[in-house]
Amino acid sequence: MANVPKPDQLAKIDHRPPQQGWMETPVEFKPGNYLYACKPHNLEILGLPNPREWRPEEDDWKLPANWQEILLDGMKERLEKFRSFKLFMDICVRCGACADKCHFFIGTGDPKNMPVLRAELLRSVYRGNFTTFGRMFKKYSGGRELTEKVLKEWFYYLFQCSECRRCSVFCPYGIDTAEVTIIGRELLNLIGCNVDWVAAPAANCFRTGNHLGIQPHAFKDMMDFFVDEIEEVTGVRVEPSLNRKGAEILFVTPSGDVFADPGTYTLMGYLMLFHEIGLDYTWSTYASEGGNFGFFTSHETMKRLNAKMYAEAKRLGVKYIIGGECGHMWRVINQYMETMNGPADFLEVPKSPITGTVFDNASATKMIHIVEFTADLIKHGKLKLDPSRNDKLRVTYHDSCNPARGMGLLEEPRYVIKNVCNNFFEMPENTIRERTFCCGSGAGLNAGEYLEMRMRGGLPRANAVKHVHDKHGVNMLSCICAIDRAVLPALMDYWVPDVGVTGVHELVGNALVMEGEKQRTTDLRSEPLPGFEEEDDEDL
Amino acid sequence: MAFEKLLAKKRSAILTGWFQAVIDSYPEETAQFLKKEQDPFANPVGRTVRDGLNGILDLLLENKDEVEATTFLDDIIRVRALQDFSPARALVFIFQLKRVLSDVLAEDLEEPELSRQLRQFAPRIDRLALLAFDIYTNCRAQLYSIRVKESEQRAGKLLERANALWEKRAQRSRVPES
Repeated sequence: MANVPKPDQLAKIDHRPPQQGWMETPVEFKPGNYLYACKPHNLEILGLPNPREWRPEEDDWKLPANWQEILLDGMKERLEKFRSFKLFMDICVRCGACADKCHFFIGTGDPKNMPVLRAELLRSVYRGNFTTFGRMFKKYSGGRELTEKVLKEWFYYLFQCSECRRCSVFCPYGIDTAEVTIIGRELLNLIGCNVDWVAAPAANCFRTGNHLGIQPHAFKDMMDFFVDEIEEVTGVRVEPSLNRKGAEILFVTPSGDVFADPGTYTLMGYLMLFHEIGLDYTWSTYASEGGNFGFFTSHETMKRLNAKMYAEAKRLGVKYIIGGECGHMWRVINQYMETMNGPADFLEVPKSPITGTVFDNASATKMIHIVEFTADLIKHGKLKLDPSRNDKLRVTYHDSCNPARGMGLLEEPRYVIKNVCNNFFEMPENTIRERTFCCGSGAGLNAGEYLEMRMRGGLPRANAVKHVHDKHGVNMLSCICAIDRAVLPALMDYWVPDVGVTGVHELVGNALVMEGEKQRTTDLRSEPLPGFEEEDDEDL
Repeated sequence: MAFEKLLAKKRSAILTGWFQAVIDSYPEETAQFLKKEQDPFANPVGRTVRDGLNGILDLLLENKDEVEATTFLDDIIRVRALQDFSPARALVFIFQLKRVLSDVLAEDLEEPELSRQLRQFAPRIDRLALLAFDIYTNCRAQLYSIRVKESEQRAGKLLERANALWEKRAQRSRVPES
């Protein structure tokens, strides 16, 4: 007879998770909680080691026989090469200031997503193998061997960090846990353990110049499409140029904005703005990507992908580069460009041809963010704007992590938004500016198969949006990052269904009064402009 | 009536016990954080759970229809349907209210009349659970549809250009209204 538990036994079921130390708690790969493994051909394109078919869910990851040696040698090399990494391994006192600041910890409730513990995954191996104390006392000093179990833990949690750096804002020692993740992922790449959502865009970009692998003719086709769309809405035909030698400025933006809504409307905003001020600029179908998924792979891959923008600037003979609304591109430019691909001494310090403003802040990189460029135009009264065209929108602003924390771009986007919209509302102060919450999908986590994990990571951001939605009726979330524009709509659909997502330059495009334009009756999304329909009827 | 008065009197202890039961489904370090941090933006999960349970208790005490608890249930279940819980573990918190009531009211329930009234009260908790099943399923279905929608949007313009998917939509937007 079956052993049926008695009622009193059933009543004793404890719903608390089993209590065991973090080192003993293994990770379990289940559909939805991991990203698909990199395809071998993408690693081959990038010349990265150990290309093979493998799946995180399977026991055998098809690692090289000496994988431990490779990783430990790699760690040793990086400890010597990057002083920051050595410091971050040594100086953490485990005060816990960062522990509850990570959006992935808050959203998943998994303690190993506390930044201190995520870094401890690497630190424990560092201690166990590179410090005398750790080698002697192993576990008692917080050290451990590098086993397959540990490796799988690295893979699992290093891809639950979006490298947003919120934790670093709170660390009294200034430990940047994103840098630990960056090194950790670089180590994983030494044995071919990347994810395809990072490896494929990086490989595409390396071959064709953009993440989606779009070739020049398709890129041009899309630009023609936008030109038609803009003409339909405004009656003005803009004429962007591609690969034009001798232009004053090269414009580079994430390819996501060329091919996916709602980023496409932001791109239309760029085209309209540049046309209106008569900017002498060109697009490139080769440097057709602002994003840099090499950044999520290894320093070397990041360097190779970043180099193309500058190589193209040199080939075309431009004076400097303007970059579009992108996130991590700006961290790459501001924090790595100069020592990585610099000096860009063949370019000039950016100077606005319209206002004469010299952007000394970009004297090293020769590349400015379009939001600072536009803010300067508005400040000097160079744009005719009608913010009432955005009156149906009640807008809040999500500080995209990298422009906010990676380059300090806090005021300019707000200044632009307030000049092109009449209804602007800030989210609570501990969720914006330097303390902004990540969208939950940065650093190559924005894959479809990872939707649920992303929804968890984005919970704190969505929670703040919900607050301003409930309190002020906010119905539009603006941002200056292409990954944000790609992933926030899904996040909003689940947590705050009545809120849309826009780039700042879509708002600019809507408010911009262009010379020779017709009476606008729709916005860039071809949705009716409230208050302007009647006049249209009268015209008829 | 005596039972409702008793519930009102012990409300605070019931809420504390129920909240503790919910956060005990998380690892210990997380449970401490969910309990301690009071800022609703620093601790959205803890705050959502606390506010939700509070709202549900209010409805039960005020003898209102359980359907009115839908919003509160949705707030809590929306989080738990997404986190790493099986459906049973995500929703067990509803049934845990029964245990919490028995524990908190243990001494009072020695009186047979109150004990009888608790048995009469229990089906209300079951009705909450039935509502919860619907909400949970709805949240999961929503995730699946969001995933489909997202993949369509990702390369939407490309597909539109290739006339592969949204040919009709493209045509509609091009035909002038007449």
